[in-house]
Amino acid sequence: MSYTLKKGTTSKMLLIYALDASDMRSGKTGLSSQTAEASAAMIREGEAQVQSIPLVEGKLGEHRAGSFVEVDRQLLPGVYQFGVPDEALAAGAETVTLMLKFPGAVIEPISIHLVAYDPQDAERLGMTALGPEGRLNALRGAFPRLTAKELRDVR
Amino acid sequence: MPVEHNYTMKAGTKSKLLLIYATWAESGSGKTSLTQDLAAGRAAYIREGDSAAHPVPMVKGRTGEWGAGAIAEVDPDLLPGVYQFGAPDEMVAEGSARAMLLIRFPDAVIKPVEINLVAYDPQDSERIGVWSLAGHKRHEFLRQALPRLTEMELKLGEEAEKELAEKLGAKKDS
Repeated sequence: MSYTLKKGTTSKMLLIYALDASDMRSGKTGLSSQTAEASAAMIREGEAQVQSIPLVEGKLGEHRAGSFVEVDRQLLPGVYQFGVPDEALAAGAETVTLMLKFPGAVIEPISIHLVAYDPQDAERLGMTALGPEGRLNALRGAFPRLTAKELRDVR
Repeated sequence: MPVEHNYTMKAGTKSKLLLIYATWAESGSGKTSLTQDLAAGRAAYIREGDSAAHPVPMVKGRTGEWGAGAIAEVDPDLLPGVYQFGAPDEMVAEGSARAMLLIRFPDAVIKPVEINLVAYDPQDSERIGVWSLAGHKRHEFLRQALPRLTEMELKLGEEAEKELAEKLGAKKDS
């Protein structure tokens, strides 16, 4: 399972799928933050230590760091919502791998690519070069005298 | 072997057809004929941030044609286990960054369909849906950045319009 997110994204909720380890084909239901021996942890690229993420209760559709919520065991058996701690997605690393472990369930590691652009920005994909400042700088670079004259005339 | 179903598409995409792969639980080979008993199947999705799952009633579909929840077997001989599923427009609408769809049939293994909903358009070869690269947006920017040139351009336009009006007037009179 992989995601591509802008560095510094906050209040991110992930939808994850847990397989039943007994048959490896059906979704595992009934998992919760209270499940015995459950754990969550992450490692960010370049970090020397794994960080444990305490699992807590939560509500569907609401973010809380470490929250683990079953979506709907009838309609979507095996699907859960997980609240990613903001620190996991902070600037300073390019990838982060999260793992959730529950007895009797198999959950693929979650690989998150932390990027500088913003896949959710329809205006300019979070690229500063496409913003007014970046384009103005480009224009000034290409036509320095004309731009200087323009600016003088406007003043 | 079950196949991953990962998609990246622009949020708000309409009439999207998904290709999914179903295998036999035991052997792992492609499972055919699922559409012969649609009542035995279930489909539902959740979007990131939603407070409830949404069931998708499945109906029999035709390959190459979209319908919300329409499922069609592609070709049991050439592509055994491959099905086409019509994604409901609401599932991929704007307002969420991710959707997960589960399609289930007895004795079949179908991996969840995971959809990244993005603001750009991976299918737009001109500007991947980035607004600030649109022609009118670039013109707007240039006009703001070079106001004197813009004034000159407008003046030239007005003169051209005046000339044209005079020519048309002269033609009418003759």
